[in-house]
Parts: sequence; structure tokens; C-alpha cells
Amino acid sequence: MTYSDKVMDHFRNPRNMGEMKGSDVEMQVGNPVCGDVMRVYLKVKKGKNWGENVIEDIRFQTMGCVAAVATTSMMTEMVKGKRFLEVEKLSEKAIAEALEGLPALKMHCSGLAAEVLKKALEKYK
Amino acid sequence: MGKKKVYLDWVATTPVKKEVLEVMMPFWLEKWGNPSSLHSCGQEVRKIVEKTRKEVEELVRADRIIFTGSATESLNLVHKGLIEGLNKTDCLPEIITSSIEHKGVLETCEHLEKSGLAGVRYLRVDGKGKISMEELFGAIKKETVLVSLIWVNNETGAVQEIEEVGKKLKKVNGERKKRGWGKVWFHSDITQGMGYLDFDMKRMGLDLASMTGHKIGAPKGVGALFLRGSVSLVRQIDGGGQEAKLRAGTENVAYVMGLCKAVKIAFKGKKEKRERTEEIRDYLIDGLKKMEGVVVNGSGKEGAPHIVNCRVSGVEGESLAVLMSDEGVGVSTGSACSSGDLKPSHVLTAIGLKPEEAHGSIRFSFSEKISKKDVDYALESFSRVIKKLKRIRKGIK
Repeated sequence: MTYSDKVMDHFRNPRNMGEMKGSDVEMQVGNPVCGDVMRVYLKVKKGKNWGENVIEDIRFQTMGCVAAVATTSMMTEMVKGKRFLEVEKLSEKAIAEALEGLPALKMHCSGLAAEVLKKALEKYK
Repeated sequence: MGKKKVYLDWVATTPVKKEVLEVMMPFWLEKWGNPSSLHSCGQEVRKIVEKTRKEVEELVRADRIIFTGSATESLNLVHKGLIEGLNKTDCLPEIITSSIEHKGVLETCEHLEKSGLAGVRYLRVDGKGKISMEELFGAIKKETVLVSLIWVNNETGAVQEIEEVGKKLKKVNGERKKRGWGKVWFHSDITQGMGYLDFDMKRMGLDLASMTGHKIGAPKGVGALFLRGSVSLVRQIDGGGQEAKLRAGTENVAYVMGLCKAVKIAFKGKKEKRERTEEIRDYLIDGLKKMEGVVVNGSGKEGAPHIVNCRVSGVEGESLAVLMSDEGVGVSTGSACSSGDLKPSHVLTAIGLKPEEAHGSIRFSFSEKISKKDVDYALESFSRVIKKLKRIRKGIK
């Protein structure tokens, strides 16, 4: 399995990694049986409607393979400071592309990173 | 990075030994003839190849050696070739093998099952990776034609009692003969045993044994199949009459000479090599056991001298292996994750690990060349790497 330099960089130096005290929303997805679990914490600045809410800060924790850590890290970079409506449709493909590609077998990690974000946003109503 | 480098993946492959390379060199530049040629240029090479073949046959007490391209090729030839070589009868022949074989056996058996050429019985193993003699001998029936067992498991180091199986099988075959039933042939994938354990086809009661060169200091791309007695196979590569008509294609002379030299070296001072390697293994196991959240998988100190498999709770094997590599330490994941398959290792789940435990497993494998200092460095690295991954996963429930 060969990873891009960008994947390796995010794995070795994960961005926005760690717990967040006083977060507005927490979400966890994945299953240890499959090998990957991701957790995110969001600090939200309230907007005039749901879509106008802003992800003021985001943190993540991941148990899993190189791709699982890298995709969560990249996802947090892509959405930090953005309004919900800008990122609610962030796709697994977009995260993978931002990482200069992922091995086909590891696309599900990118899917999991997209899922954890989507579920966290939905939870914040 | 300029860091220290410690290679602890000797099961994956080994460097070519200098003495092996020296034996190989003349067969490219000087004695480059085709051994099948009638002229002196070829005949000179033929004589050397056959003399060397004989020497190795005597060393391992085989009647014949067929040189192949890899252990996997030998395994394919044994299983497919034996089934194809049987006299046609109404009943489906059956192979008995274990659930912790190398993919070379498991996929070949699956191929035979899918093609409707043979039935296959997969024996379970206990927590240490051992088959049960009762289950094996209870499974033998009239249709059984082959028992095929891996000697040293490449993931956990579990060692099967090949000699004991061989002895019991001899009795079983005596009884079968009286009844007019066909013989149950005995094969072992000896790839990971050759370097450290005593190998003797006759004493072990083996009819067939498969191995590759690159695990014992020969180059990649050459394997062998040892045969004893009257077993008959149908070749899987058709063409010329090389290798007693069991494997067509011009002999890869230099590589064959390299493999033979590596086998001869393996037989020298085996006991000392084994003891030295066992000492390193036990030192590593003791170190791992002191680490929080680390559990040694399978056979541990009862297994092969050069393999240790362990799991770390709450972290994933691929991440461990990649960060270990950043530290300069080469290890493998216990799971086949990185080799294009996301399923947890069939070997680790067979010895009773849960999928999440199998995902968090790592294999250390080494040789007599590895020192305690190397192990100390690997253990320190392992501790740092685990800490880092636990930081990344800290809040996961």
C-alpha cells in the first residue's frame, strides 16, 4: 500500500488533534471491529439559521490506520472557520483529493471522515 | 533521517548471503551455458547442477528436488499436481490442511474446491496455533489423499509436530494398504522452518516439502520442491522436459546454485543459530510483556526461534508499522491489511483473536544477526510509537 506524501504528512503531524473542553457538539463514528473509529468535537458560532452556523473550532481523535488518521486530520483543516452550508456536503472524494488521492481500499476511511462531520452538523440543531 | 536502522522483518525476506552470491557469479559470466545443450558449454553446467542437486538431496534426505520459481509455485505444483495425477474414480478426493496455512496453500485449495476437483477439510488450531492430532486423524477418510501442514507459521511462529504426524500417518497408511485404499501423502510448507529447525524428509515422514530461497539468504525468485518415494505429480508448467518433466523452462542455473548453497549454509551450526536466536526472541518477549497494553499472541516462547507476534490494545497495526519505520525499525502488520486485503489476518482470528485484536497486531521477526542492543532500540521505539498513537486516539470510547 503506497500513500501520497500529503497522507503521510497528515498522519505524522495530525492537525487539530486532541480533545476539546466545552465543545458544542461531539460525534463518534466507526467500529473497532473494522479497525477505524473517529471522534470530532465542534465549537460553533451561532448564525441566523442552521446553514449560517460557523465551525469556529474543530478537534478530532482517531483510532485506526494511516488513512483514517490522515483523512480526519485533513477534514478538520477543510472545514475549520467555514459555515455549515459550505461544508455539509463535503464528500469522501473531496477529502481524498485534498490528500492527493487514497488507495482504493482506503476510500472508506475518507467516507468515515465525511460521515462524522455530517452527523456532527446534523446533531447541532 | 540518519537514524539507527533495525530490520526486524526477516520472515518477509533476508539479505542474500555473500557466500551465496559468490557461488552464483560464475554462472552468469563464465559458465553461462544452457544445461540442456549437448555441447560442452551446456554439459559442463549440467554436471555441476546435478552434482549440487544430489548433494542437497542427501543433506535433506529427499529422493528428488524440483527447482521452481518460489515456494508458492511449489505449493501450487504439489496440491494441483497431486490431485490431477490421481487415477480417476467416482469419489471426490479430499485434502486435509490447516486453517493457518500460507495463502499459497489456502488459495490453491480453494481453486481445487471451486473447480470441483477436490474437497478440502481445514483443521482448527488452538490458542497457540497448534492443530489437534485427534481432529487430524479423525478427519482422515477413504477419500483422503493428502495431508498438508505448514511447519512454522509465518505470522505467529507456531510449530506443528510434523514428525509425529509423519509417524502416525505411516501407521494409517499401513492399515489402508491392507484394505486396498490409496495412500495419504504428506506435504509440509517448510519455508520458515528451514533456517532454524532440524529438517530431514525421512525422519519427518514427508513425501513432499516446499520452500523458497529468499528466506534463508538466497535471492528472491527461486524455490524448491523436495520429493521422497513414489509420489506422482502432473506438472503445472508445460513445455520442455526440464526438472524430471515436472517443471518446464530452462533452469535458472545461478539462482538454483544460490538456493543450494543457502540450504547447505542453513544446515551448518543450526543448533547454535537456533539457540542464539531463541535467546533474542525470549529477550524481546520479556521486554514486550513489561509494556502496558501489549500482549504476545500465540505460541510465544514455545514457537519458532525467529518470530514474535504481539497485539497492542486500542491501536491499529498499520499505523504502528509505519511509525516504527519512521523510527528506523522494519516490522510487519500481523494482519494482511497492507497487502491489499482489509480483512483481519486469518491466522490471528484462527488462534482466537477478536477482529479488533488482530487489527492491532504486529510481527517482529529476526535472525541470529540481531543483537540485544537492536532489540532494546526496537522496544524503545515501540514504546514511543504506542504513546503517540494513544495520544491520537485518546478520547475514543
